[in-house]
Amino acid sequence: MALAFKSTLRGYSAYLEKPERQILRSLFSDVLTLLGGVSPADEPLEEDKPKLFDRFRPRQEAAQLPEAPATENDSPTDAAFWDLVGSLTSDDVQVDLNDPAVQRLLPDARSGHDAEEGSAQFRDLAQEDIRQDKIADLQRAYALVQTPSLMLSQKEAEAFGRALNQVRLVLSSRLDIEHEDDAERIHEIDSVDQATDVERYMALLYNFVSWLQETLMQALIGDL
Amino acid sequence: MSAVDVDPEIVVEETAHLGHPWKVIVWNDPVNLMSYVTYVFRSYFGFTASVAHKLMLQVHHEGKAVVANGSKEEAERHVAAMHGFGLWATYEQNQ
Repeated sequence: MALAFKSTLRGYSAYLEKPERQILRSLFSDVLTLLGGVSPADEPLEEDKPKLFDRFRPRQEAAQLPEAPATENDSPTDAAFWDLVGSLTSDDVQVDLNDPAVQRLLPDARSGHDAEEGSAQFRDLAQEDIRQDKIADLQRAYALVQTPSLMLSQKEAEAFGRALNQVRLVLSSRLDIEHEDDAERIHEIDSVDQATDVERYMALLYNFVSWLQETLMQALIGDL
Repeated sequence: MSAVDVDPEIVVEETAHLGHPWKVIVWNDPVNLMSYVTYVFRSYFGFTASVAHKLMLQVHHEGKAVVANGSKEEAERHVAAMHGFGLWATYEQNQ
């Protein structure tokens, strides 16, 4: 059971169980791969119980991450899922701008007159810096879920929020969320029982990451 | 404590005429959370809660909003920052 972000005197606190942090790490890694970045060295995840002050939080501040669809060992469903979520190329670090998910992360920058030429110029000028910043955010977020009890500084919280946003952009692209009604359709898949196939499971992950990001943004906005 | 209520359209129009030939547009998409967009507008541009909220709603309801005007370099810098946050932003010349 994950506990929502909240602002405390010591920072932005949340609680994430091991399976939740494992899935977040997988998602961060997949986006890193899309951007030609590398995941940080894989320190084993630590485990502990929620801190005393977290154990009495109201139910509406908690969320349950769904189990992956039940399948045979080493299931093809699982493989299909990761194929859908990320490109699984290991040594090729080229960014594939033909991939709609990569386009969501690194969109065209110009509109109006000369948009095409201007967008190409902008890519030459700025894309590499933007890509590196995104990779840094994802690597930071990956490292931050090492422990179950998160306590983030404002800078860490902002980086974590940006990394969660990248994950949502990529998942939304894989789930074909292009219009508000697509988002509604995905949002309605909210029961763990509905994780019957890869797309529904991915939808549940999307909703879980959305929930986590929303609680973090509310905590950050409350402190502005 | 209260926020100063500034109409974002007035802010944007005032600067548009002062030799600021480029504008920065943020476009609607069904993914970015309203809270996230609002936070970015407040923390990056320094808008008040009220201005940030109005601009966010304008993006949501009208499909886009002009969030800044300035030189080409300024517009590029803002768009690069917005892309860093994962917002769908573009810049173009003011007519």
